Amino acid sequence: MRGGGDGVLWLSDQAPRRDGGGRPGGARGGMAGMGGMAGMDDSGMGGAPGRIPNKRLWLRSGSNPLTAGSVPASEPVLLLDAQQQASSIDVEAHGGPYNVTFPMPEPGVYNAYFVRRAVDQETLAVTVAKAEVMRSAGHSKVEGEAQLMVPRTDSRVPVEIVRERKDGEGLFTRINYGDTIRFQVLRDGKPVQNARVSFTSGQGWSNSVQSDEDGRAGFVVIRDYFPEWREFDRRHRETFVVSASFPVDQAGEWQGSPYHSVRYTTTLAGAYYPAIEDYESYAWGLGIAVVALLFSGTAVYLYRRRRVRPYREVSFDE
Amino acid sequence: MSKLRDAVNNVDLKRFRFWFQLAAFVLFVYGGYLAINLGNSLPMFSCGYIRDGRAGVCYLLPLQHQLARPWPQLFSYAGVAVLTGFAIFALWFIVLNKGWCGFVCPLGTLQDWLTSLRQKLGIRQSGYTHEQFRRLTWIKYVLLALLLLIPLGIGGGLWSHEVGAPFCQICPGRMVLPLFVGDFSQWTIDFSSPGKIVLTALGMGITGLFIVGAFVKKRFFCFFCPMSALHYLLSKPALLRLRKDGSKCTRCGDCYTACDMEIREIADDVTRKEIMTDDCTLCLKCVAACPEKGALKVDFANITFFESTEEGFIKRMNKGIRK
Repeated sequence: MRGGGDGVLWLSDQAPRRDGGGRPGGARGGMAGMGGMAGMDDSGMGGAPGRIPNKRLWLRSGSNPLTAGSVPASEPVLLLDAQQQASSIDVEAHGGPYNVTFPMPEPGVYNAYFVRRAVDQETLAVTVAKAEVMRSAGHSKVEGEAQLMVPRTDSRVPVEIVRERKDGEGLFTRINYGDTIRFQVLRDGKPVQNARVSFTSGQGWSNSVQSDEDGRAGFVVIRDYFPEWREFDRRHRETFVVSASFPVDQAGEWQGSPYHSVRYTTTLAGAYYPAIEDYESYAWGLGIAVVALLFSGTAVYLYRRRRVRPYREVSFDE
Repeated sequence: MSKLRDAVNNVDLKRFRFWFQLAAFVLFVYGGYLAINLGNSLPMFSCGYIRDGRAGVCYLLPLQHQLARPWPQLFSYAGVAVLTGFAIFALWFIVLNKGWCGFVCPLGTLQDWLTSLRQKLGIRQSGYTHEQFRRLTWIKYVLLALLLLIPLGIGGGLWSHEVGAPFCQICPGRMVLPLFVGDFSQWTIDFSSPGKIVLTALGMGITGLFIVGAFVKKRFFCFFCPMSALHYLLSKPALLRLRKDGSKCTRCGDCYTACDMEIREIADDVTRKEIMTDDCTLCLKCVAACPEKGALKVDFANITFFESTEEGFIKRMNKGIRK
């Protein structure tokens, strides 16, 4: 089914369009993609050596990446850098869509959290939009990369979605069509059972499941990119949004407003790309190699045969 | 000292090369698993497509990527990276000269193993005529020119990035060497763009040709290798050198017979001292096959450490040097 405009907040590295929706612009390739996000700002990859790349994230509203627009906000973003150092990043006061920028000096995984709390009709709505941004070192392996890839959580964040890694995943690994990606919903670091977890693809297709007793939910990344062959781009990037929400019976007071229950909502966005199987063929590869092998082998054999002089008996007429 | 010199001159070169090549092959194909990383400016085919096992990367891969940078970058700060990479490549190269081909290159070693297999099967080898040799020897320079010009054209916006690293796309090393770490992922045709289709199909065709060619002809691919051409352009200041004393040469032709690359000058040319040609792989088989004392010698930094001797020749002949 198609994902709708539901006001779900999520962090994206792609700016919302000025008309408040549509296909996001500003994507730049080259970033290690898995669960992270493509694109750096102008001082990012491909820039002059020695400059520290920066990352810009926008807050967007609506779980469908195709139509999600911008949303005003003033809350700072909690950043957990590659070395697990926490810092607070303030929103840029330029009057435009909410966005924050932070430096990524070291290769690794950077977690950014936007946290909002508000009481509405005696229900405390706790919203956490999380972005997991990766910086690789090009195709080179980073020392201790396996350790850097271990998913991390932060005790200051009330609720979050953690994406489980693929086997052997590195900073340059991508999510592809056909992959099954798994998430775990955590509240105060503990798994949440029966949370409603929704996955929305870049073209707005969505699926929802309930998290299991370990707070886990998995989705198959569908292929929703069907261009004409001449327009096919193997680096075509789509954004998915995963959201999880669940209520908790809990009374309290937030900034002077009493509440009787809490509604937790958390999101995580990521990028996915065409699978190798979408544009590469083993059958053709092996076929051409075997034809070349047989052709050249036969040619060499026949050439040699032709050069063998047949036995000719010489008889002398005495 | 003289005993040591005699021991070196009498060495069983075939056995020495086999073990040296095997060690180098293991180092450059599996060394990465031991966290060995010798950089990405190596002057031989330590293939960058061996993802985890490689202990370093063949210089041609980063060179092509670097040259494909947009011209405003290439002719400013990115040019520094190109020059740095080239300087490191030249430093590596200067040590062993073309000995990188004859003793270290994994793709060269693989061809030697295919030759051994053919010999064990009792199949005779193929060779080029002098005319074929003369015509084909230019191919490596054409490939080298294309290898440099196509990425430059990409950087200048003349071609798409889809044909980036064009030589690697057609190099059989990309297909064959990753097989040794169980990676078959390069044996595909990439249909994502017309340029990719052409290059990957060409690569697969050349791989088929490589297997047959290397089986019937010694060092088949080295004859067309653009790295070999690049080596020769830089070989003047190299420390390892092959020298010939024409006054001691009887033109018996043993060196030519032993030469995997069928270089005729090694036997015919009695005037040049620096006898290494662009096709030479510095395998030193010619020195081992020469019966004349001092006619052929190998110097490192102008110090002779291996030279032809009658005694060494006889010892090696008795062991069957040309098997």
